[in-house]
Amino acid sequence: MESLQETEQSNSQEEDEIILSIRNLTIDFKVPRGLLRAVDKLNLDVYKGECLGIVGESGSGKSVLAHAILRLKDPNEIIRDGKILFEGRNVFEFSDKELREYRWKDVSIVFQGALTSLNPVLRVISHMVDTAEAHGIRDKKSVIKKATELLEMVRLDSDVVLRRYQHELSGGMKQRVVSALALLLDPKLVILDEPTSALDMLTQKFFVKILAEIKRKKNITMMFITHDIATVAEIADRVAVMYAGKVIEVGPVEEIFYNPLHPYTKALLNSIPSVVGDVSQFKPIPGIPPDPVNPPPGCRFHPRCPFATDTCSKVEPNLEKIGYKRWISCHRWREINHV
Amino acid sequence: MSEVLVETKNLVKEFKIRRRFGGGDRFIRAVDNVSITLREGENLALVGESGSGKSTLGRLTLGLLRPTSGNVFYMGKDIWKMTKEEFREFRRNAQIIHQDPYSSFNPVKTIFYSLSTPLLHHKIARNKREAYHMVADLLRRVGLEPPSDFMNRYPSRMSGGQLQRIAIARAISLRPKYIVADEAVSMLDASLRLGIIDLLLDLQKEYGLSYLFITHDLGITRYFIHKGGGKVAVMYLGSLVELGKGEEVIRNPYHPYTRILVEASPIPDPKMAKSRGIPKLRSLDIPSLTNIPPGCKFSSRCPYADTICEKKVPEYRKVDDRLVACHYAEQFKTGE
Amino acid sequence: MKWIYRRIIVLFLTIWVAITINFFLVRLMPGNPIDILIMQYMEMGYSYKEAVTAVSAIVPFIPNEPIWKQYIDFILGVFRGDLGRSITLAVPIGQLLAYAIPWTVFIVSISLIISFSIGIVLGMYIAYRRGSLLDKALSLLASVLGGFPHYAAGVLLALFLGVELNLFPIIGPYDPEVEVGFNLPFILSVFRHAALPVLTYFVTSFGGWMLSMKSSTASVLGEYFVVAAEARGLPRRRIVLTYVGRNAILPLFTRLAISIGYMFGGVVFIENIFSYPGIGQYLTMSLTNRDYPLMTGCFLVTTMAVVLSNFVAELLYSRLDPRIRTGG
Repeated sequence: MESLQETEQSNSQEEDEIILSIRNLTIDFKVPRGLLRAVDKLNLDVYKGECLGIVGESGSGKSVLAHAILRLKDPNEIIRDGKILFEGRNVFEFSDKELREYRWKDVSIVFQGALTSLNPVLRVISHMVDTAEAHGIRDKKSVIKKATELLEMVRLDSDVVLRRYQHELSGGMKQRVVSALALLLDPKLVILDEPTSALDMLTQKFFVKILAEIKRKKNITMMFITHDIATVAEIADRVAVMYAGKVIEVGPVEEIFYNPLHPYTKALLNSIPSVVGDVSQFKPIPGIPPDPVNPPPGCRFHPRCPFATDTCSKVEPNLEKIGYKRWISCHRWREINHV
Repeated sequence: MSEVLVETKNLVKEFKIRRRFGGGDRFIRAVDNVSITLREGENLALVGESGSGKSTLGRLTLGLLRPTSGNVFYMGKDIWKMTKEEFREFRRNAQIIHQDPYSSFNPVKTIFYSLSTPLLHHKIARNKREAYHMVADLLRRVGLEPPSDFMNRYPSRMSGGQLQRIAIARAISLRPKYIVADEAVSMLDASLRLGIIDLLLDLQKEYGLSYLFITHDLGITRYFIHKGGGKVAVMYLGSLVELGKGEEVIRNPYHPYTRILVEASPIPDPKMAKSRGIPKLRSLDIPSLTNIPPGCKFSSRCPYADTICEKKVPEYRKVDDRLVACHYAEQFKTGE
Repeated sequence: MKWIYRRIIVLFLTIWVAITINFFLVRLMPGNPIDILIMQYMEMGYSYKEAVTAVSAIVPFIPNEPIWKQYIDFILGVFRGDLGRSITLAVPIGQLLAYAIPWTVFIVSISLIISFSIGIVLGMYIAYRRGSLLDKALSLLASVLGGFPHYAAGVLLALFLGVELNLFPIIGPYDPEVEVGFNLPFILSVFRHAALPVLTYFVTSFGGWMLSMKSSTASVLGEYFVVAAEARGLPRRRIVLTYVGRNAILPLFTRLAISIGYMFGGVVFIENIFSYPGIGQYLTMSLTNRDYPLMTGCFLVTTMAVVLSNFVAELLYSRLDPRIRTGG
């Protein structure tokens, strides 16, 4: 319970300082069938010192969003509109030099494919040294010292691990090495893109606990992207729920879990059976996820929504601010929740 | 009580690992002395992490792999002693649903082709016309309507959830008695998983199927067993560590490994989740299958292990009506 | 390092099996060259016995003894380095090969190095510009040239660059007028004479290397560790060389080493067109003249080259790729 109070405190200290702000971001992908809208007029703020959980199912655009923040462009990607402001500066307007400095020093990322994000022909130590060197740190000793410290933090023996190659590490170890690497330059924001989905249950649990601990100790800002809403409960201070390329509900973690307002969030929470609670209340969400090449008009969720009306199928709802760090995008949220 | 449909006795499967450079061949025991029974119309949920041997066990019960030792019985007959005719009949009756629906269909054939071929091959449908109607019925049965929309589609043009429904349609098309669902919902979006499970259980009621439901997800297991009834078996490094009836195994585990699995499962409740600590494990890393600790396999990680556990392989103890492979199962049950 | 001994044993076994097959295949074929040789001597007026004695002086075994005995003599001969004498040239085979091998090694190595390195660089370049006009043009060119047989390319190049433009000599390993030895005119002449054979090989094969490198690079470019390196802000040079290049080139190194072996057999046409005195030249000579001992010698050399280069490839790969180095 101690840890909980600590995080709450740090939140209130740096109340409304926004570190990253995404405005109207729209990204298309060229696919054989046509254009796929991966991110659709997305708006989102990340506050300093928080862990923002981003939850969405496959095709909701959460990974595309993560890549866009670091401006890692896929050849088939077209950025249609919008901006990403990091500490007020538009990432899309960075020069090559600014971009290289911004990457990893300001924002680092642990990829979904973390298990394959180490170069197979280099030792762990080379990855660390390379990264530091790219950002002008030539003193090898201090890099190793820092790396050792971080590896210890993720409970790895640096004497052994630093000399290893990628294939000599287990999945859980790789994941922790990659995370330590993400922290090497003390970034202001760390993005974790599905960091646990390739891990075993026990390793997953352990990893999330370590992350929570690091966040508390270093007071860094995190974006934790996952398809598994239950994992987010453990680490996030705030949660953004994505559906079909849009953010449909944002709020403090307790609000999202104990008082979800959007029909999709409610349904999603009800569709994930866990080891506790009443199992008979769980039920699937009817229908199928929207086709991102031909998304439904109006509210993207309306074909699966039990509360949908005519308006829902015609008019796109906006993301409206309804409270402290709380947004929702639903025409009928008031009626549904008896507000 | 209904009849025993599938049974394994002291089943062992070893795989040879060839080493390209250095060292001779080594063997790993993917399934180690496992005995399970599945009665007609009943379910068995098989839970374990990757490397626990749960998929290998599933394949053994289907006759897709030949056991190193031990037996697999189908309706009382050892499947490896069956005549060719009997074995073919068994294979028709025992089907599998894979984890990844995309890799279980031929990508260049239409859905109609993939579903009608087995029907025609086993002479369940006499001609294409008849097959067409049967496939349409099957598609309707798995909730894909109207069927004509799906018949001529290719697998790549379907969503994971739809394709998994087709995989189920294919599995039931030959009217089998036994289906192995190997992580059948793991790759699907969370919102669709329960729908697929509901479908499986509806089909069970209709056709009197028996499922071996393989998964790593305890929440999913709970849902499946709660709605469908049956037993839960937990595997660790090739061995069965706990076997019991119903979701009680998850709500109140007797084996330390099961308990830790339950503790490690994510809970969609921020207060509860944040208050839980790191699972108490002696070692975080799963031992490799080539280097299994002697005695109890879990002893290298078990927080309660002592010298007995490290030396002696635990026998199955019957605690209440549960089988538990732990020296301290009784104490553990009472919470010591 | 136990596997290295195992590999060496396998290496010798392979060579042994190859020469055994070689021996028996030729002896059991209809029109057995040894019998024909004896017949030729008899036609010249030798008695059978005399003919056998004459042939025994050429081949390292005695032709009228039982075949297993001949075989043992043959194998022992191989180990002693005694492969008999060439029928056509009446010189010990060992001596001929000792003269021919350096020339073949010379053009094979230069050809491979040039076509490999140019192929690699171009392949990587077009992999980065997939779909561009340059990519399409080079890929098309590579497919067309790759389908060209050596002899056709050789003849065309000889006609065009040698005869029409008179840029390079088209016959022999060096100018017969220069003094053989370590002097500048000789070395220059050797390189000028090697130009067309090397160019022939280069033209027909760089495309293969380029396309392999392109696909290998393309698949590495799709790997997460490349994106991850980019995300870490690493300089482009470092990413291209150490992250993409090193990983993309790995599978090609094995092929390079194997190619050395196959080229020993593959240069036959090239050496013939340009009358280059390498192994290929002697191989053709032996075949047209039914020069059995010479043929055996040439086969032995190409077999050894293939087997040895495979061995080197494996060694090399285990050096270059840490995943194999530790035996995992």
